[in-house]
Order: sequence, then C-alpha cells, then structure tokens
Amino acid sequence: MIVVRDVAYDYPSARVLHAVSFEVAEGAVLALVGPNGAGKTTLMRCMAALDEPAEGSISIDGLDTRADPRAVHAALGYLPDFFGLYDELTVRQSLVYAARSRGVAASAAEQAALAAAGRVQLSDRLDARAGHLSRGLRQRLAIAQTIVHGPRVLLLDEPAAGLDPEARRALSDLITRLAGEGMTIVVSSHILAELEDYSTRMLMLRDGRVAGAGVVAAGEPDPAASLVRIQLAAPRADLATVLAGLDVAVESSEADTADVRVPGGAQAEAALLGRLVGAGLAVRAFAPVRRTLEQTYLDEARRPSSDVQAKALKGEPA
Amino acid sequence: MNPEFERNLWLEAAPRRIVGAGVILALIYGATALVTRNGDPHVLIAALGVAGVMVFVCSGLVWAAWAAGSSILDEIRGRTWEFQRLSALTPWMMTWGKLFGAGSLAWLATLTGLVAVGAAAADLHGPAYALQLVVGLAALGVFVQSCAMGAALIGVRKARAEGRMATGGAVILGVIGGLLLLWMFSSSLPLGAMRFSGGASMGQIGGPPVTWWGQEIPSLTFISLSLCAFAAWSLAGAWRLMRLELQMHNSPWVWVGFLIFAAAWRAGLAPAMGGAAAVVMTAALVFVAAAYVCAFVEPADAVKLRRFVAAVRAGAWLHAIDVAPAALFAVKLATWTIVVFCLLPQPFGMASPLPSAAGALAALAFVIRDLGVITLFRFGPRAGRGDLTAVIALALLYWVGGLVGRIAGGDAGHALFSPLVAEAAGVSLASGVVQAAIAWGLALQRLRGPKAA
Repeated sequence: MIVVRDVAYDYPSARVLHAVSFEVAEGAVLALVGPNGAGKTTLMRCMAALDEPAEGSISIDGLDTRADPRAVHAALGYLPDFFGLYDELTVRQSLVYAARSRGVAASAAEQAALAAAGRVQLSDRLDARAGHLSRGLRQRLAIAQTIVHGPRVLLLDEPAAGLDPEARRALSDLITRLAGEGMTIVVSSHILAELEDYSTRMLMLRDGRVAGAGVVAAGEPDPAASLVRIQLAAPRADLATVLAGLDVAVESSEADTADVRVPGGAQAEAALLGRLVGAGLAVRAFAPVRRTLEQTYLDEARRPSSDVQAKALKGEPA
Repeated sequence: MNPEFERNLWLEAAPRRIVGAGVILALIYGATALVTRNGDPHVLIAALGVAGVMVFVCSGLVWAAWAAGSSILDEIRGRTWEFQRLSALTPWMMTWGKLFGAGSLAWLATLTGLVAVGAAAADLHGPAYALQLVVGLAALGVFVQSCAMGAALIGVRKARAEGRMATGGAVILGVIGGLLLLWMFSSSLPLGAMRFSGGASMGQIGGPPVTWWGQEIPSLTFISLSLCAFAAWSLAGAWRLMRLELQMHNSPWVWVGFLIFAAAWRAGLAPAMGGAAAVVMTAALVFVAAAYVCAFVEPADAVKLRRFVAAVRAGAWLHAIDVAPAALFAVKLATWTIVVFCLLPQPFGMASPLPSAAGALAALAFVIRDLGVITLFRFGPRAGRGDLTAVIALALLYWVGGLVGRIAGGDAGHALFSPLVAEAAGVSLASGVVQAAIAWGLALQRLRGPKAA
C-alpha cells in the first residue's frame, strides 16, 4: 500500500533524510518511531505529497507522490502534529466542508459528515462551535475531518500529543477501529506507550536513516519461539534446575517466576504446561509474553541500520 | 457551489455582518444626501458618486484586498493551510473561492459604490461612458485583490523557504507593487488621461486619446480595457501560484505569455519618433524589470535550483525548463530583444535617449551580474536577511563603486561600475562581463548541495 524507495530530503544546508526505504502492507498499522529530530515529520510530509523529496520515490496506493500529488492528496488522510480547526464553524459545518473539499458529492456530504462524526463519537456535538471544544474533542474532530472522505491510507503525526489519559484511550480505540475496517495507518510518535495498543509494525528512524532492520513486527510474539512467563503459587528455589531438567530454554528465572522460550506454537505451549504440572510445579499463571514496543525499539536501536547492513553485504565500507 | 466559496460565505457574509455593513453604508450615503440637500437632483447624484468613489476605494481596494491576502495568511496562522493543501479542490476553485468568498462582504459594499459612481457618470457623460468607467473600476478591484492574494502566496512560499512564518507585510508589498506597476505603465499615457477631476464632475476621466501601436483610442476605453487585461493576468498569476502551493508543477509558458503581453502593451506606447529601436528597447526594459522582480520574489529554494542545474548538466531540457527560475525567462527575452536592438539601424544622434549597441550590451551584462549578486546573498546562510543584504550590496556596487571609480579614473573608472557612461561603453561591457562571471561563480559555489553522508 505504501512503498518508499531511497528517499532523501534536503533542507538548504543539510540532508535530513538519507536513502529511506520501506514498505507498508495494506491494513497494517505502522508505528513510525525515533527520537525528536529523526526526520519522522519530514518523512510523513513527503508521504502526504506536501513536500517533494530531493531523491527517491514514494508510492501511496499505487500513486506516485511526485508525478500525481493531487491524486495522492485525495487518496489519503493526513493529520499534522500541529493542526488547526475553523473555530467559528460548527462541528457539522467543519465536517461538511471537509467532505466537500475532499471530493465528496454535495448530495452525500451531509451523510459523510454524520458518519465521520459517529466514528469519532461527536454525534452529540454537531452544533457546537469547534472553538468551544476541549482539546480531546478537537483532536477527534480533526481526525473526523481527516477520514470523512474514506481514505485508504491515514497518516497521523504525533496524534496523542497533549491529550489526557482518557482522550488517549479514546484515540487508541478509534485507531484500532479504523485499522479493523482495513485502513492502512502510519502513526508517528516518540512516546512508545501511546503506540503500544494498536501498532502491528514498527519502523525506527534515527538521524534521518532507517535504524535496525527496517519495518519489523511490533509487540507480537516471536513466531519461531514465543516467550512464555510461568508463575508459581509456591516459590521453588530450584525452579531453574527443574525447568532445565524438563529441557526448557530458560531466559530468566526467580523462585516464583520464569520466562522460557517455547518453540512450536500453541500446541507445544499446552504440552509444556502439562509437563510442568506433571513435574509437581504449582503453576498459577502460564501466558505468552507480548514483546513490548519499547523492547522492540531497544532491540532495533542496537542493530546496525539497514543501509549499513546492505553496504556490509556488498563489501562496501559503512 | 464551490465549497471554498461557501465556507468563506459562512464566515464572512453572516447575516449579522451583512446588517452591520448595510447600516454603515446607509449612514454614509444618507449623510451625503443630507449634506447636499439643495433640490438639484444632478448635484445629489454627483455627491452620491463622490461617496461611491470613497466606498469603492475603502472597500473595493483596501478592505477586499486585505481580505484576499488574509484568506491565505489566516489559514497559515490558524494552522489549517496544510488541510487545505490536501483538499481535492482544483487550484482555480481554491483561488476564486477565496478571492470572492473572503471578500464577499467587501464586494457587496463595493457594488454599492460602483452603482453610485456609475449613476453619477451616466448622469454627467452618458451610459456608455459610465459602463466603461464601472467596468474599469471593477477590474481595478479584481487586479488589486489578485495582487494581494498572489503576494500572500509568494510570502508563504518565501517564508517556508526561509524557515519562518508568513506575515501580512507580503500583502501590503503586493498591493503596493501592483499599484506601482500600474503607475509605471500608465506614466507614459498622455497628460490628463488618468486625471480624476474632483467635485461635482467626479468620474470624469478625460484627456486626449491614447496612441497605441499607431492607433488612436479614447483614453477611458484604453484604460478600462487595459485594466481588464491586467486584472485577468493578475488573476491568472494568483491561480498559478495557487497551483504551486497545491504541489502542482507549472510550465513557464503562462509567465512567458505575460512577459510578452506586458512588453507589447508598454512598447505600444513608445514614442513614435524613436522608431523600431525605441519599441524594442522599451520591451527590453520591461523584461529587465521583470527579471529583477522575479529575482527577489521567487523563494530562495536551493533544492529547486540544484535540480535545475542538474537537469541542464544532464541535458534534460524539458525538465530544466519546468524547474528553471522565472527570472531566467525574463533575462532570455531581454537578451534577445537587446540583440535585436543592436542589429537595428540606430536613428539616434547625440540627443537620443537610447543607448548605443555597446551600451545596451553593457547594461545586459550588469543585469546578469546583479542577478548573480542577488542569488549569492539570497541563498546565503541567513536567508531571512538575503533580500536586504542583496539590495545593500547592489547599492554599494553602483554608488560607492561608481564614486570611487570616478575619483580614481574619471569616466573610464566610473564605467567600471556603471553601464550608463555612454563615453566608455566598451569599458562597461568588459567590466560587466567579468563581474557577472565572478558573481555567478560565487553564487554557484554557494548553491552546491549538502553532503549526502
């Protein structure tokens, strides 16, 4: 759905994106992460066809951002990190205008506006002025304006910045719902916790370059050997020894808790649980451990960047 | 309805605002009528015409122009501009939606002024005269508003390239620049052609007919038609700038078309006694003026300029034309017209204001040098101060350099820094070529891209 190839972007005195390449599959929710100044916003603006890269190409839903920027504009929704609303317009007027200006026919604009308001739970505030809404509700209205024309790709730049926990939760639920409807979503943030709930893939940028191995699975169990946490009702000082005797790969172990690697999927996990109980361990909890986005981030940060890897493969100096 | 026009109507032409504007206009016209109660309907109509001119100036030129510029700058300030840039509206819909939507209330007020002016002019000079006057004034309003919007769009692009927020100063400069353009172009019209005679005969624009390309045209007709043409070009300019803001690429041919139109319009007013040489030189001066304006008005976009240089080096001429700086086309046209000027028989003696062929070529060399100096300073590390620094540098070169040259070497020394010393045109030409090469060498050095690694 999104293909980025060797994108470089120059400011007058410095290059801020260096040969960035990655792909995002349809329906994925990509967390675009990296420290402040890594180039996330610049990359997003290039993807939204608001800025033109100096080199490389970007394709959104098969449309080239350089060759046909207006078609790209129509195909996606983009919410910048600092967005504005027409404070004097009501929620209804804002959404009808957004729908009309994004190509929805006049006869269908009202319906599209009502549908978008419903998706962000603003149906009860259609006649409120945008300027009178709280920050969380303004964020919802901005997202409703962004999705009112039913884009297939949604780009959100730091969408949760400044939101309180309740509003963040509502935003997280909304993004999860949109992803469930098949929308391909890219969310940038430098706060990993806010991306944890809904991201399926992660791309890390560092100093304008893709860090680590490019787009990786975010927060999903390793399909080769999932990490399982075992908790005991009664501590056992020899827990590590018992587990080793059962031929289990132990990642870490304490008297009442151990993290173990279990290759072979769900059936193998169920078999291990039976063996643990059979060995006399009082198991009170046995559950796969979801790799946190933070853990993924740190793992990627430790890896050499993809262009360094590519150079190494070609025998070139990094 | 155009959604952008409709949204602006929601904001601008709300019933409360319409009622407010109506009350103010009623007070203006009512007070005028009260002051001129003498029983003569002609005097009353003329007085209302004067009030109409005031309303036209205040609302059609000032208020509507400010609204047109603000329709862009308010989006920047309100952080809604990116949302608009992503819309599916065509650049033309966006342009006229903003131009006439943001200025809708101002236009309503302006229409009352035009009706009053038209009635007064019809009463004094007949309906044909009134129609031409009203059309000309309406075109003037469109021209000024389009200039304001175009200036705001230029301001936005320049500010983006310089990493700052656009301000209303660009709108004021654009309106002043537009009016300056009209003033410069109309300064050669016959004396009195642009005269507004005051008092009860307000609306009279008279004077001898204008001779344009050998044709005698009534002055009001010429002015009205010219204003309509310039309004159309300024509207086209705003539309082309809007295209750029919406990330579309502009081919240069509309710009070239305007340059040729402006040169032809102005050259048509060249004094007949100068012959073909005067006509060609007038056109060249228009191109040169346009080159200077472009050099300062175009954003200092080093990335785009590097693309142009790379396309030229690669021989990709079609792409090079698309990304070429606008000033380049004006310079090319100026070069061609100056070459034609040099080839023409030169019917001038000592009293002729026209330069010699060597003088004209020297002037061209100095123009190219100046563009190099402007590029050098505008693309420097402090882009925000580039315009002012370039102006100061040029002033130093012409005034201080010229003064030092004159003191040190008389006319020949002065000619090193000025192309206007007729007695030493050859020296000026050689000096201009060397200085142009140095200036562009330094400018190209500065335009080198950042290191990729």
